Amino acid sequence: MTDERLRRGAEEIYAGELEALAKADTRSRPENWRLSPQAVVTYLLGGKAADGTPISAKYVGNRRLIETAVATLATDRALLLLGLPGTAKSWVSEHLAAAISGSSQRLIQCTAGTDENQIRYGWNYALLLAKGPSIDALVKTPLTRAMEEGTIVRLEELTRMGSDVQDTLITVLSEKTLPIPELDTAIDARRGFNVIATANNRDKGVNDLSSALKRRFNVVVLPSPATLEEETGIVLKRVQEIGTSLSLPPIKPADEEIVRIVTLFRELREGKTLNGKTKLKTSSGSLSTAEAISVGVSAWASAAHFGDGSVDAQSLAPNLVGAVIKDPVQDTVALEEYLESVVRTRDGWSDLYSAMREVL
Amino acid sequence: MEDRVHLLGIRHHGPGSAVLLRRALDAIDPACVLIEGPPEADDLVRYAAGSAMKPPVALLLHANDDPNRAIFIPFADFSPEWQAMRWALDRGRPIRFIDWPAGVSLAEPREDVRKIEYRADPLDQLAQAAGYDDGEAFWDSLIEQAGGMQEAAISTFAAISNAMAMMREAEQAAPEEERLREVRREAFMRLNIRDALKTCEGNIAVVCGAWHVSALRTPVKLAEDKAVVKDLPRLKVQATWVPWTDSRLSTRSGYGAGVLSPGWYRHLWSLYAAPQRPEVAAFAASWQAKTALALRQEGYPAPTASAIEAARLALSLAALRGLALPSLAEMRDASMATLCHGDATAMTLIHHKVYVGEHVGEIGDDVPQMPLARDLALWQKRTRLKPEDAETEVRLDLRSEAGLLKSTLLHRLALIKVPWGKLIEAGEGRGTFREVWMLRWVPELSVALAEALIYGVTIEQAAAASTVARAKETTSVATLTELIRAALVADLSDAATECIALLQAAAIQASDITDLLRAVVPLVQVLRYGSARKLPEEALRSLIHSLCVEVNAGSRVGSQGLDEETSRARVQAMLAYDHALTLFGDSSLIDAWRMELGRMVKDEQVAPAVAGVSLRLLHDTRSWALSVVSDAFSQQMSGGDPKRSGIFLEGFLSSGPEVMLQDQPLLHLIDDWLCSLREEDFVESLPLLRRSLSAFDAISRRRLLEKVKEGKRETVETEQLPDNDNLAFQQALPLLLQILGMEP
Repeated sequence: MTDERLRRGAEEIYAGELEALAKADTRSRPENWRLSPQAVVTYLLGGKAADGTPISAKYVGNRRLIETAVATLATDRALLLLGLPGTAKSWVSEHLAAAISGSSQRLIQCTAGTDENQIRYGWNYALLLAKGPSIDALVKTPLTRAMEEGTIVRLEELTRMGSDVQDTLITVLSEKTLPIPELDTAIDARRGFNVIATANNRDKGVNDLSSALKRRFNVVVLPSPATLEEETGIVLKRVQEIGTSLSLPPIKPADEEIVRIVTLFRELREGKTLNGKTKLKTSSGSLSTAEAISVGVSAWASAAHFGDGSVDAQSLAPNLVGAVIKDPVQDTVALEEYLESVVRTRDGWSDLYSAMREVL
Repeated sequence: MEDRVHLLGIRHHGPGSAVLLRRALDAIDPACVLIEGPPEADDLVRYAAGSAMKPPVALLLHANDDPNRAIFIPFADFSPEWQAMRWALDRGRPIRFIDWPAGVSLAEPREDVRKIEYRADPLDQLAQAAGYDDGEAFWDSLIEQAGGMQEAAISTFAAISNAMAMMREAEQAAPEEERLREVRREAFMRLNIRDALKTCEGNIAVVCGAWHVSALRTPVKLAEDKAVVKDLPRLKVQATWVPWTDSRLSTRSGYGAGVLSPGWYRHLWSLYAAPQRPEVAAFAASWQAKTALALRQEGYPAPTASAIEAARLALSLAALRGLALPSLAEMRDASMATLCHGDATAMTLIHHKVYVGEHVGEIGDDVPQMPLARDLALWQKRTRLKPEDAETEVRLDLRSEAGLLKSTLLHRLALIKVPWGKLIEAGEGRGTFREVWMLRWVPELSVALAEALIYGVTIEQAAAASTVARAKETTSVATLTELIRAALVADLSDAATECIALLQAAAIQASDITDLLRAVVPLVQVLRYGSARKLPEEALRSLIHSLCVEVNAGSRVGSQGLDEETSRARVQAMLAYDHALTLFGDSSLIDAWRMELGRMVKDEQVAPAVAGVSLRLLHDTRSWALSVVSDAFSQQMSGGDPKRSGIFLEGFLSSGPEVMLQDQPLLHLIDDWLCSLREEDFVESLPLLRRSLSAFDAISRRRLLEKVKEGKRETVETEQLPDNDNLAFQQALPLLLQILGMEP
């Protein structure tokens, strides 16, 4: 049976793991939680369920951050995940929601165009005109549904939404209720309701959180992966997962090439070579782990469809160049410099050098 | 060992260990308490009972003849050793220190001591083996297990010592020196325990690092131990109590066992020491409230609501991690997520205040201190300056008696190299009644104080004697001047007078004019503006006079054949000296100086930069008429070596752009000279011009250019204004001249 959908939700992909964890979970659970907090941590960081089912790691990194995030949700405080682009904020948020509420689908994508009606509730105007204001004439949002059912709702890119709209959340977060003044009633949140928001702390200037709202969130900052090994591990794992779910034709293992991608990304991101000896220009883009993953996937796709079935410098080069050069002037200079001073002289990188030269 | 001996292995500075120890002591009810520490301090223990003793404090033991050879043994409230002392003192039981004598450990060659590596607290390793990240979390669980039972406390210690014995067996062979130290220390300990068994009836409690317990338990023949400690070199030592600080506690010292976070340990101790153990929630909340307060003081909005949320999060994190009590890590993570909004900078700002702590201990008045420390304590009382660990800024107004007293103390301490305060701003020149100091007391200062004992038993004596001693060691004019100045601001006029005599003698021998020039400036400043202190005015005046005579006589010869760097320094010194000389206001000296300047312009052997600045000074003071200056200028600039001319010009322009902008004749002097050059000469002198003017900033250069573009203007002859057009001015003129110092 093939699934028509391009991507399945976390709770579907990992349904087996979630079930195994839930079955063997004897610890106390907060009301309306599918798992105990400890089991949620295990689900995210990997390990073994009590019955021995292996649990894969969804997040690679500092255990204490995830523990803080889960403990926050267990205290019914809202959670704000901050971080640079591509530090797995949405990924963590999705998995937290899947593990806690069994669904990661209650999602509001916040943009500059998001208005209060998309957060709070809207009106079904036909019904409103015909019958006047009533509960039935309300158009519910993911937030109101989550409140009614006691589940997690996710707000993506919270700071991209206007400040006045953001502040709609204040009462919901502190009083756990959403007044509907038109009907002189309110929607009270059931236990288990909570909010996980993500925001990018690089361009927080867009719509900075008001301090009133900020105070209602516990903030966990997700850092960029600390070491080359850690980052390579993440990229390898995600490339494998995405490629498989896209049903890309299988290819030879590309571990070596992935290491090169991550090395290049890290060096350009930090503005120095891994051994710290050479200083480099940094690129204007953030060159996040997420971008490294997408370079890996595209290289896989081009190798499988147009190449000889193995990822090599030829399939890597166009993707790498495209990922690095976001600003045609500044980034070209940075990449040129990097090619000449690092790639050309590095042992075993000469193929990459000539391939990238060709693209440039 | 006999059954009477109870070995209690503790974790140094561990609050959890301290509370278990107290319970164990209650259960054992020992007739005598033995503590790991140097026996030389035995007599000092009784002072720990005094209510005026406020930890953190430390035992300071130093060699009699070399105070720099010293060890500190610090104690905080929550140190088990301190608690053992208090327990025994409260019940009148004797206390004995049983470690090896400080005299022996200090007699070791120093390099050996330094080489010894810090061993990670073995108890922390044990805690890790038991699945705890944090040593104190481990102890907390032990306390929980023991409950309120006293007997259980004893068995907990037994269990710990068994575990430690196993760890010790498993440990890799330590380096030779360290092993030897350990063998000696433990031999001393066993010998001291044997002594105690002889003199003491009843139970004996031995409080020592858990590491040593197994070694003390092993029976070793008396003769063997005696052989180990026989004939070890031994120094005579002195012991005293000194105040200690939290930040010093947080680094390794004394036992080699440091504490990561004294602030947190104190908080833990408040939990353990409370008669009724408070609720865990209250414990977490009070810590988060402390954090919030510190954040608010740093200007962060950290409302109480967030502190409550932080406490809730800490509890929930502890539950998630399976801990009964939130440990440091949980508290920190929780503060980070709620109070700091994930901002690591905020955390760094409050780290020292909250996690390390800023307590400074206090020593009771009755404690026999070194005479200097006692004197300092008296001064501290008189001046109301309290030793604090954090940097505090103190602004002093020297016109008030209190301000002057504080300043005197701080200056004197600086003279005996006890830099409690750092002078960061003194109103130099502009009126010297204000001083800004940055104060910070660090325990090492106690050692420095002990070192100063060789100079005297009061701070005043020591400061005066050390100043004179240093003055006698040197013949450098600069050093002597600095010492005189320092002695004067420290209100040590006798010492200053003695130094003045020394400087006078040295000045005659001095070969370097620059030093002499520089020496005059601060002395004149002190004399002219006063330093709000008593001055040996006569001696100072005659010193300046004789220095000036030296300068005026020796400048020309001393300026011949100088290299470029020396002459650059000389030029600056001459400018400052000229200014100081005018302030000093002795007309015969001024005349002699100007004569010498004139000779220096004319002497071709004199370094060109010096000649340049001399001519300039003569022009500025109108000693030479413009025409004479102009002639001398062209002579120097024309003819021969363009490099020499360049350096001359640099010297001539060295006092900065401002005068040139204001002084039309000077500007035109240079302008005329430039215009008179032939083209090839002009091109040749361009680099040197550029070099001379490069010291001016861009704005001045632009203004200069505009001035030149304006062209020559008729000088307004201000002197020619009718003198008598304003009677009031006429009447005020003599006084005005006196104020401006234009009339001697």
